[in-house]
Amino acid sequence: MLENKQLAVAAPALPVPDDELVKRVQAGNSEAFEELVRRYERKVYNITYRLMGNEQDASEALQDAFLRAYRFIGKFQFKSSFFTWLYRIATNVSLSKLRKREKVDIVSIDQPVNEAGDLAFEIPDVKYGPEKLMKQRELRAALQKAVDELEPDYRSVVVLRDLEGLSNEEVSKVLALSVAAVKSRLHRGRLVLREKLAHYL
Amino acid sequence: MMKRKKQATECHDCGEVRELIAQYMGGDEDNELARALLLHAQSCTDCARLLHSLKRLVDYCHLEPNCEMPVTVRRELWVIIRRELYAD
Repeated sequence: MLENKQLAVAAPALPVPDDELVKRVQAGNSEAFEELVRRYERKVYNITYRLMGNEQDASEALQDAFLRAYRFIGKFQFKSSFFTWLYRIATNVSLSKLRKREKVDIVSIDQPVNEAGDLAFEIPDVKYGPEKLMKQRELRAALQKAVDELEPDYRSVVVLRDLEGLSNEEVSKVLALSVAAVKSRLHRGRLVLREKLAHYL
Repeated sequence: MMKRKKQATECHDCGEVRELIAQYMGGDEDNELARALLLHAQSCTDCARLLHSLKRLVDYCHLEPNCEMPVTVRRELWVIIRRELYAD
């Protein structure tokens, strides 16, 4: 009897795979694209923010990335995953904007991260409390500043690999680089960050 | 692969070890390579410091929480998206 009752309960609907949504968009379904935006807006914003270093530029890059994705989605041939393709667009848009941006030092007054995320950071040897929170904020700001100062080629690899958690293979697809080049740039980028953050490491 | 492992276990030159550290930190995390690096690091403060600080750096990056997308940024994005999708 119980078994029958359990069977009567509808199973939660599985999310529609990205590829299926892309096919629907290619067939003219705008709502499917809205779903893709909802699915990836935060991740793409993370990438554009990390690469651009301030909210305004990140916002513009975010918008451009999704607009381009929509305009060119008809050409998506399913040779890579949708997210790899989207991240590539977001990274290219950001890097292009970065290169156009002349060497002007922009000091961001934006809060770089949410307050709620503070406790996720572990810093050894400092007990929980105001000191630790202050140290976390300080380190986070220093990390973003150091990332901002990296050469764009290194920055894109470090952001995608270390901050966004992509694998070497995924980064190589997003940036159209060999895995060896990804590893090389990653190491150089990390060495630069290590120098800049020596005080915290 | 064997050649690299042989280098890892036998060499004591810091320059070579630093290349191995790059490989290790780049994702080639096989046990023999790790053991060789640790062995070298036990007798070389500079390489130990480099390895330790790179590991700390990567740990920090991995623990870094996502940026919070501001409400205004999201609102502007959706205005642009809907304008594009439903222009007609």
